Amino acid sequence: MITTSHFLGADKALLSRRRWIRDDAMPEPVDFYFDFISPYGWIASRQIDAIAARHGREVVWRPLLLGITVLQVMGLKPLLDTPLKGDYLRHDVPRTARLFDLPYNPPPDGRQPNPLAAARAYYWLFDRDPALAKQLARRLYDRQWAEATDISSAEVVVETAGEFGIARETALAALADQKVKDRLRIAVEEAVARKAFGSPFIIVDDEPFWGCDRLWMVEKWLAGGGW
Amino acid sequence: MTADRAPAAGRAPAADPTPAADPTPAAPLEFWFDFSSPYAYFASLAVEGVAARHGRSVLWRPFMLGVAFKRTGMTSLSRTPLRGDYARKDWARLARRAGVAFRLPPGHPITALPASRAFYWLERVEPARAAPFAKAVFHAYFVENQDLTGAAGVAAVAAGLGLDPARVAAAVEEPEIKALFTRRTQEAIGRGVFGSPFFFVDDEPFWGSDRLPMIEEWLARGGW
Repeated sequence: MITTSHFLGADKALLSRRRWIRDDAMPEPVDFYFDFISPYGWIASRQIDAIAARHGREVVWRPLLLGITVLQVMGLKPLLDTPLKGDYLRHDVPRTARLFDLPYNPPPDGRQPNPLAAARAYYWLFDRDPALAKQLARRLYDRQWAEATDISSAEVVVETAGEFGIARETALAALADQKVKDRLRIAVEEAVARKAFGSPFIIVDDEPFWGCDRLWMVEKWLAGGGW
Repeated sequence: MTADRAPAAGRAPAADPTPAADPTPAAPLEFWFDFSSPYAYFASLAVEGVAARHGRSVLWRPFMLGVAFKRTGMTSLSRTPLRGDYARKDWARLARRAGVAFRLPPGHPITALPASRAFYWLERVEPARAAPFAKAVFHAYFVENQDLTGAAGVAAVAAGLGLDPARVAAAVEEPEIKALFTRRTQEAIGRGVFGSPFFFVDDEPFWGSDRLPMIEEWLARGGW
């Protein structure tokens, strides 16, 4: 199994030369932006908390919508519909998952899910219990990309929330609430305002990192305080 | 890997004059790039080391990224909202990390036709100098910020390597060289190349300078 630390080996000397800056205050959490439709985001989701924890950091998960950031703000086509690139990604995602020893197992129809219900449920719960919200997001993400379950429907999201003791009626009401829908819209606007545009997109102390192939760099940045 | 290809004990003549060396030399690591691509520049600094550590050579393959963009509908990073800002920050960060000078040239990105044509001409007439020329082009563009939009600028880079600038300037206008470069670009797109840099290890595709560690892993393990 390959971990991000595998790629760190060559630079241990460099890292040990760096001066550690310690502060009495808790360090800022790492922001982890992702879209539930993104398997690369899922690959990062399986690693990001452990990477941050090795450097004394928490991670705040922040779902965004590539449909807004990529399609509307950047004016690009959906990745999988992009000629040549779509074929490459269909080859690369399972290969990358195998490299990191992750149990990639998407729904057999190959369709991308609709992320709205999952993302809305996340932010609704985040405002009440951030730790539980992260557990729910992790579970939803795993169901989609490791358990071949399409998480598009409110029904699947509600059922998954039920595993964490959230009553069905409560979850259904939350998903139908206009305030919850607005909460997601604002979260995506905030992501765009922070120039987070991809999935995964990780911000460490205002330093942005895009892509699950940059996790090694996130780790170096956390270890050395940047360069 | 060699065990099943070794001659069977009973059949190997004792006096066989040819040594039982590796029967097929490993295919080179293919490195497809556009000379105007900053990520290709960073990759160019590392690719030979990656290949050499695994007994491979590098096949340098410039192509015209703009032609691939016409197929995919993508645009250059610098001109994509959000991603352009990110890329500029990222290039500076990669340059600091690699300890190399890097300045985005004014007018970037350019259409690097003359440099690409000169590369393929050189590969034909003096193949040993093609890779050094490619590296010199990257350096001239991303470090020295020389104007490489025309044949004169490219000929000046070649002159720095001791090549005759007049020959280079003439070569990039030859119809046969122009057609050769067009074929290379079509070959790239035909094989699914849509970005720069793009690599093939024994036909396994890898996109992006970020993937050099994964390529190295692939070379070491023979895939997974």
